[in-house]
Amino acid sequence: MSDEVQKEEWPWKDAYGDYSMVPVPKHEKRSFSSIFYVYMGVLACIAVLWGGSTLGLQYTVKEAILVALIGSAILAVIGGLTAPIGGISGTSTYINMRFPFGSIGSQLFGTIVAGIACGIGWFSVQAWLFGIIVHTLFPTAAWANVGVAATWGGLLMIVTAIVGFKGLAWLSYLAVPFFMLIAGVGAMIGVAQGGGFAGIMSLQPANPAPLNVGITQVVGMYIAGGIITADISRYAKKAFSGALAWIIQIIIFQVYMLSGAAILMIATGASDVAGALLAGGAGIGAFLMAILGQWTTNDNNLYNGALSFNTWIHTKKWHITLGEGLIGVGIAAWVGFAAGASMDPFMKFLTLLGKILPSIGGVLIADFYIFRWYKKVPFKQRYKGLPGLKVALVNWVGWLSVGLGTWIGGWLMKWGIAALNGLILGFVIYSVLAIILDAAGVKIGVGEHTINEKGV
Amino acid sequence: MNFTKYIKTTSAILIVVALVLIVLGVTALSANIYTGIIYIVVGGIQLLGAALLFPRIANVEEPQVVGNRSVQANWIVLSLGITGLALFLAPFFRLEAMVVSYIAFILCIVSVLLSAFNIFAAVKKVGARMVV
Repeated sequence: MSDEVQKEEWPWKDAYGDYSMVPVPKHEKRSFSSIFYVYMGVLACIAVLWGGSTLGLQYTVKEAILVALIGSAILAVIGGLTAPIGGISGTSTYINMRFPFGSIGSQLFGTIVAGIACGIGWFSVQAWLFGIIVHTLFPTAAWANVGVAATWGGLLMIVTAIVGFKGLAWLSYLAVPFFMLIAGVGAMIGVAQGGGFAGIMSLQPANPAPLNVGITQVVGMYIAGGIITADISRYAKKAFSGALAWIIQIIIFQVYMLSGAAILMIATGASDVAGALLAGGAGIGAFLMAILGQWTTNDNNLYNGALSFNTWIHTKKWHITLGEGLIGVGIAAWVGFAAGASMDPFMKFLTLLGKILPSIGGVLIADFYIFRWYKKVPFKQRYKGLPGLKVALVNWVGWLSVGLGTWIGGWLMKWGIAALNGLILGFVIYSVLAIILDAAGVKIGVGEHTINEKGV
Repeated sequence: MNFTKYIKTTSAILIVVALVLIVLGVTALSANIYTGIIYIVVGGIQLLGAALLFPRIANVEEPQVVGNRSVQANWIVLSLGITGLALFLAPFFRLEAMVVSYIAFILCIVSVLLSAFNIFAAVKKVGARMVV
């Protein structure tokens, strides 16, 4: 296979940068390894290690690995279904959402779940957490003051997000192998302190919990990532490379990282992974883990947020990245400098916004795989079009399905995995309603919007 | 020296560096099993990254393609080298014979510098892409 760059006929105009509104052209597509590394960069974050340490608090080593495997398998299925949508269409999740939600729906839902929640909300929370971790590691240093560290850390994260996909890839190339090894180092420290493998396997958890609690935690931790896989897989040379990359990183590496952190937690009893690594003798590795772990994840938050804002703020994508990044850094620094401040209420609000995302994912999957199949659209032609393509302003069935799926799955149902409930309900409600109404001759789309060469 | 010859020569050096690291790891196993494992893992992955480049560029004549493939290989070596720099002198991996730790650390410096320069050279000399 030649890596030679061949420019093809491409009728679009990338007016805003990083192909945020238009399909990624063939000559800009990247190899499987690039896609894999960027996904791994999102996965390689402290939150995953914290997730692992939570498992360590609740389960024995064997149980923790089993829980990580089952939760990861569910996530593999979800991302394995959403990634090919980006691989085939070449466009981001928020552009793909024009089909099941209409152009206004894609702007509204994209802005809520990716723009406000990820791009500003979770970005600021993670920048603040970065400040806290750095401060924990170096409590007396002025540069490690929570507010100061949140500021310089946040600014670092903005830089790679502004560069775009290439920036995410460069950082991931550097950070991912390191992060994988540091998870292994965590396990080594755990084994060393827990009296060898036999000692570790015999240890009992501090707060035992049923397996389904842990599976819910694993799925809930990363389901948002599983739904917006198209933001990265749109760059894949082959339609299914993104899905394969996602499945491998989730099934093998997420399980490995969760297990490594769980072993460290079981052996040391410390819930603070960075602190446990430092105390265990990982040296500068603990510090680098804090920096790279938050950086590789948080630049993706900004990146995804900017993609969604770009659907209605028509300016260069890097302007949006810079703007939302500075707002996020401002919030993180303000909370960091205000002694004793907590982001708990803000995080609860973001979690509330996040409740809508699984249903959106369910509707997107249903529209692409079920409704387009019912409409006899060839698989590789789905969500594709040329300038002049007409889409609905509002697809009311998509809106209704998300509303019902979120309400029933997120609030009414008291059993199962809340995020998975929302996703399945969104999928089923949309599939049934859209097909029945279409068969009955009822229009599910209201109004009409014509896509121009800039993808607007 | 043309680019292909240059990249083959430097990759051979990287292979030797990785092999020495693996040998150090094997000798360190008895003193500190975790140190031995981490040396072998870092050296082993670097060895794979550098060695697999040879068959990948064996029948390729286009310099840019050689450059792209060498960029991929050198990213792996570079990131593992940085990992080694961060971990090899950490208290958990220290050996009583500190000279071994220092040699391993210096090997990582060599691999980091050489692989970073290889990426730079591939981009500058033959127009390779940093993200392949």
